[in-house]
Amino acid sequence: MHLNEDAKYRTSTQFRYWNFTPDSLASLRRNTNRAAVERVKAAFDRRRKARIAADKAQNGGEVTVVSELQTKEVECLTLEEEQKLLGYYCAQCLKMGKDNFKYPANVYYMKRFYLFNSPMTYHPKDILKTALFVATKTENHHQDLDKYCGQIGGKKPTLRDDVLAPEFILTQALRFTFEVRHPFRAVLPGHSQSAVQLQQALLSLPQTSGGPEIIHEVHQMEKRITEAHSIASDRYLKNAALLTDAYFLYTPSQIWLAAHLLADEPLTLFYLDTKFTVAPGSNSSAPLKTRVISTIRSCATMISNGDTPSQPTLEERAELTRVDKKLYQCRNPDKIDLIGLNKAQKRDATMDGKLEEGLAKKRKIEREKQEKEADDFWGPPLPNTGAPG
Amino acid sequence: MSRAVQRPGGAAPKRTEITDDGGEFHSYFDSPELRNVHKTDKTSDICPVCKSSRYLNPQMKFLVNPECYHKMCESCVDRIFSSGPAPCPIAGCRRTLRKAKFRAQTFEDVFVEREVDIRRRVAKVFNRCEEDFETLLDYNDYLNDVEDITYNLINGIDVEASEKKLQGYAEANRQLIDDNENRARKAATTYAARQAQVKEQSRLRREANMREEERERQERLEGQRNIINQLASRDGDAEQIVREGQIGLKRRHKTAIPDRRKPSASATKAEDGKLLYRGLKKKTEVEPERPFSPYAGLRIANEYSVVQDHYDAPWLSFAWQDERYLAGGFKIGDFYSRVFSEAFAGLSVFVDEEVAGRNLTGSFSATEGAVAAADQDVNMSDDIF
Repeated sequence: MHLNEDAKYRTSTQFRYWNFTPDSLASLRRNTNRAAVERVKAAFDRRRKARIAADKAQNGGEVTVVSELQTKEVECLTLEEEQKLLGYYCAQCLKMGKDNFKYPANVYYMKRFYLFNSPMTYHPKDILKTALFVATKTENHHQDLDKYCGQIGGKKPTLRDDVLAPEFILTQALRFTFEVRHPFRAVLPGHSQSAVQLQQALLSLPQTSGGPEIIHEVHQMEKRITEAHSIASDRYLKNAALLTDAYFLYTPSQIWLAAHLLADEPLTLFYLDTKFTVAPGSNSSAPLKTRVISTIRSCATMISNGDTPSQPTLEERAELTRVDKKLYQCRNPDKIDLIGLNKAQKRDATMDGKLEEGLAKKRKIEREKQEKEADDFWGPPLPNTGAPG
Repeated sequence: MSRAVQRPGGAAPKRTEITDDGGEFHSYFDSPELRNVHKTDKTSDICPVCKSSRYLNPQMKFLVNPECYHKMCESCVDRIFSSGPAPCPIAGCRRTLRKAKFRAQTFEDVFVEREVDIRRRVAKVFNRCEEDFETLLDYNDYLNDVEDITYNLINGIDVEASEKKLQGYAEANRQLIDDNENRARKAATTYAARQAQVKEQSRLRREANMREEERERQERLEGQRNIINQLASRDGDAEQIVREGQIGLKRRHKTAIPDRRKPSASATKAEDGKLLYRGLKKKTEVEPERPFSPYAGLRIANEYSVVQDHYDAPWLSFAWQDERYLAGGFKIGDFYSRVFSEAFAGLSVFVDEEVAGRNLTGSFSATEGAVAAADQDVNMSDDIF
């Protein structure tokens, strides 16, 4: 059995879980937004009812004051507002990665997370730090957690729990698939290979005007290739491509070729020509080639659309501020305190790091018993799960 | 199945040649005259060629040649065929016989002798066994075919066609026939070895039993001697002394019984195990181990690129020259192949088409809606999934 590059890509989790059609991507986000709005409204409703009940109890069964806050329907973010906010935070994430760790951060953990979750449920500010931390771990830039907290800075100092509390939520939402197939590395061989092939093509040209000129051309050609490569990788792949939805809609090889196309179109087309050489007589790969090129072109359009200056303009900033304020009003009250939720999830949830005395004693006895049993020849007895047999 | 009948003596020369004039041969055998000759010969001890009788020469041995199965004495064979092939001396039989082919007659009836020869010859060629077949039905069909050929050859029906079939099969499957023969020989030797082992075990067991019995007998004798000694030396009731002694003897005997039985019991068990094994299917020959392939023969065939040994890439030159990288097992070739495979992975995968039919919510019911419906906000392990 043979496994070619395409088949290899099809086995990846990126293809299986994280590739979408534009329509399905849009509908997914719509659904997520709608569900989040429902949840936020339900949560507010619940709180309001609870408060009214409490008031009733306090005032002896009579509702005296119905405040404005209690009657006002909460106003939630629209999908567009969510996307704007996310775009800003993704750019922030990218910038943080570059500034602090000298590598283009894996923004796609954020993007994947917010496919199934809304900023109204989990604020991007909370998720950002965790996503970046997980990315440093998965992309070979691991930092000690304390060091990481010190490094990412911010107005308020970042605490360990700030980073760790949402980690499992994020991991779950990523469906435990950490691989993001980047086009960065892939662009390297494209460079060297196209250089080799161009050299061969040029050297095989009929020599009419003497040797030195041709060698001169080869040097020029190399310069051009290197330039195209650096533009493609630095300007497009490490910025715009990460911030757009390109990873959801295209494969890494299409993305790097699109970036290369934006950097130097004739060169890229020549390179693609060498990849889809048709055997004389057969006409099989010609339609494939046109399809690939059209896909790459549409990807290039998407990347160039996302190729905006990294700093938002004044109007954009004002808009973002407005959205952020709105978000402050409509956050899901159940999910604001992530650290608290995380602690509550753990056994013997404690708020100040101390267990109740009786419970601590019980745990100690349990632990000692377990240690003693672990020394037995056959180890401790199996836990009784109530299963038959 | 009678085709594997073994010659008791096993010393007779094996017949490898295939007679090609079976038809004529058979008509000759069918003649009533010959039948009569052989029937009358059955009881006689007189050589039909030289008329010498066993009465005068008790060492006389009769031989037959599978060409015509005419009986004659050893000295006649020596005399007539020592100087090369000669025609059969029996009147009316003009077959050319060779001395090497003469052998002692196993069966008194020459027809049985001939049938056994034919069966042996056929079985030598058709030597497949049951393990070679997928189902019992296939094997039975095969046996049926073989028996048809054998029967035809023995009874002279369509002899030429049958011979042709036999020879054609032998030609086509020479290698296989040899292999099967080797296998059978091996099986026979292992069987013999196993038999020897069983015999050795039972011998040891028997010896152990005998030793045990001997020991017991000695003990009993000693006990009796003790009783007698006590009777001689002790004062008191003789009967009492005898009873005590006998109780002691019995006790000793009782303890001895399980000792004696035990090894024999376990041995029969082992023997039973052996017997059980005998009927089992033989192990199929283990195929020679193939070279290990971690992906079960899956081969990675890059379509878009051929990775070369070296690329003149300035950003990599540090790696394949730096000992710190190389010492750790870094291979530049691996890096190249990985990078190239990444560069073209999914080049002609058109996501929007291939992913189109995917059921998003079905495969991943983690949208917030599902969670909101579940209303288990605090339990975060149910949050997403």
